[in-house]
Amino acid sequence: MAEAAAAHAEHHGDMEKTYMKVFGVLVICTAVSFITVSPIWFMSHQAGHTLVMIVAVLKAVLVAMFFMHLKYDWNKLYFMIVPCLVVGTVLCCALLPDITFSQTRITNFGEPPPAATVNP
Amino acid sequence: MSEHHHGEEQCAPGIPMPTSKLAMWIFLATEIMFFSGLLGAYIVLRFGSATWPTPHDVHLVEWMGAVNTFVLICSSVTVVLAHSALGKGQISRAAMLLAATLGLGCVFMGIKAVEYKAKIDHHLLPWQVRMTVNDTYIKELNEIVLPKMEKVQRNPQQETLFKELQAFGGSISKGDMPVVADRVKQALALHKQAEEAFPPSQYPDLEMPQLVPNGSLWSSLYFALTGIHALHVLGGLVMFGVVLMLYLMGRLGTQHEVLVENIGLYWHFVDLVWIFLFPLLYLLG
Repeated sequence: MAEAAAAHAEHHGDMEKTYMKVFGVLVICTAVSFITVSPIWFMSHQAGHTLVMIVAVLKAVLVAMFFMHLKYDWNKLYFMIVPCLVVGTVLCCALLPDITFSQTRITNFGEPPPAATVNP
Repeated sequence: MSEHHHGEEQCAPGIPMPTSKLAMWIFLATEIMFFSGLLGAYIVLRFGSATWPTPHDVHLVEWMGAVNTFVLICSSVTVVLAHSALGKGQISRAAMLLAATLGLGCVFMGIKAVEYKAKIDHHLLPWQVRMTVNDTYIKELNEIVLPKMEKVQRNPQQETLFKELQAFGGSISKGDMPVVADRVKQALALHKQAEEAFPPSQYPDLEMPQLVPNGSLWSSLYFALTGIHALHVLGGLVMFGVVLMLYLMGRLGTQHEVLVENIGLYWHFVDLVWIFLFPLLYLLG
């Protein structure tokens, strides 16, 4: 019984080191995201936006895996998490055609839509 | 009574985790769907709109969003360490870490309140945002901004802009620009020049009339997303408060490890939602 309690405590002790490492990575990720809107960012806006979203996904994965213990509980919970993520992604993608069609709208105030190009 | 098990399925043992933890995960699964719908709607409306306000247009301060992200990350660490401390039987340390989490949550809400106040002060509530050059815009420009600008000692650049603004104000008063889109485009260009010629830090009284195309849609989405998220934060703070009350009553113990883990799971999810809200609202403007 005492051995089990000691092992439990040791497990928590090990985890604390992991939590601090994850914390460090999350802080660095936040700083990287913020840099993309600061004057020192030297690449295009599109590159910045892509990086920001990649970093957001990375942060979310780290929080879910380590802080929410999914790394250890995944085999018990995947049947609930995977459908949610798939359906949530499908929900967003199902609405994307509206963005695609919006390219035919006037995108600049006062500017007429560009004339259709006709192949010779 | 004889036992008949014919045709009955041999049930596998339940999922090897506390029932309350499983219930929390089921709740979080519904939350994932809820926020997927909200974020999906935001993405479609934001990127499907012909024009969208920049963070600067709507007084969003990126560093405040970044600080709030940092605060939530810190609070996620403190709650996970509190759970760990409770597992090791360090009750006082766990309570201290939970109190720190509660404090960090309050800091988050405080910064959010400051941000909301800025929106309210700048009349950026959904029903207040001016999205076009209408009669009230013309009146504000001609009767408030231009008379104030006239009284200021102007350099040549400022004088040129002043004349342009006077001409613009005169022409729209007379209805010379019947196409609304033309008026908006011209006004936005002049606003940009005015901000360079009369920096708001030096001329706070010379702020141009509010004009934010699509501002109402932005405002509705901003307040819906951040408001619902803030309500979740508030819910978490109440739960941390309840656990701290248990500690103050001397009833917090290792038997509450699962409870703290469940509250922690909820709190991490709140952090996770903010991880996506921060870039979408503040950085992709």
